[in-house]
Amino acid sequence: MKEIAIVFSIYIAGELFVTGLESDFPGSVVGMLLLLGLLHLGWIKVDYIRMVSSVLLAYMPLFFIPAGVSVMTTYTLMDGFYWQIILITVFSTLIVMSVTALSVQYLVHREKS
Amino acid sequence: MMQMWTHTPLFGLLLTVVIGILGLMIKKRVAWNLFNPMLFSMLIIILILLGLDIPYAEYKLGGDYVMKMLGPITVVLAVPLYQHHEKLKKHAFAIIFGIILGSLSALVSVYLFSLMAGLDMTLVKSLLPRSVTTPIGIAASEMIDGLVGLTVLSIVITGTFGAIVSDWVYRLLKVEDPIAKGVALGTSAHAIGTGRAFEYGTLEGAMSGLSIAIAGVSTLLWLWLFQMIGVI
Repeated sequence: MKEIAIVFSIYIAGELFVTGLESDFPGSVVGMLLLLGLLHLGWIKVDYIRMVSSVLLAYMPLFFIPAGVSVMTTYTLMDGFYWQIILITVFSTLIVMSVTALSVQYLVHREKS
Repeated sequence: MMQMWTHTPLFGLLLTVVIGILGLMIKKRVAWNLFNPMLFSMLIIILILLGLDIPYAEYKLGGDYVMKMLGPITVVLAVPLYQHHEKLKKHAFAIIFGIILGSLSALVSVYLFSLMAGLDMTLVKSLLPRSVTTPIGIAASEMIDGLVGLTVLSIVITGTFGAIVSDWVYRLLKVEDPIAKGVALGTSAHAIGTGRAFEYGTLEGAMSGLSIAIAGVSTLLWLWLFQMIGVI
């Protein structure tokens, strides 16, 4: 229970932060950065939230299902663009992988020498 | 009788949990690495709804409760990142700079390809967050008014394809550095890529794992900036 309370409080703090700024930036990601900061400061130890974080991460795919199912109401908007969508996804993935791999490899080598 | 109880949130909630756990159980049993439990469960639920003629709106009553958990899930993504942060220290600049550049290349390439293919703006916005981990991708899609269903599907295609082609890409481009291999898999193919990265080695896997959250934040900040200057 205490673990759940910690994670939810941080999440709510993140949501309140973006609401306060009247921003549509996701509060959940602000909460993630907040938790990262608190772990670094040592104010929260991984042990305090070990159970809840491992359960949430293990069952993570389950929580994406409703978002996926929503495609049944919006698929008509993709009509005639199925192949384009797949090709864009595939080619863009190749680009991201290449750009990231080559730039990291170049910079790591430079840092080493 | 059937009609009655599908009107309550309990229906969507139970359906998601039961079929979701079934998907995760199958994932554990099958040797096929690319089996995607989310995709499996999602398709089964769509078939059930269509087969029993139950409107999506009734499923959504309970589905929305499940979606509310995406917030706390995103928060705990900080845990694996924190646990690997020692490995980040030595080449922090190279790794973070590579991820920032990689996530920018994702957005620019999707945007340009989409314009070339003649996609309308709603579809473009749905595809823009496709390279990041699903909970952050859904949040990003909501932020820029994309269709979350399409975002989730394109995220699955991205991860699966990235995991399949990484070997071929690395050989072609002569990428041999384990840090570069791991970071590129995590940045381009999120958790599915990380599964592949662990097959290369534990260093590759750890690098891929820590890249997921960094790539998510980086993508979100780029999108936020693009929205600010009015590009999307």
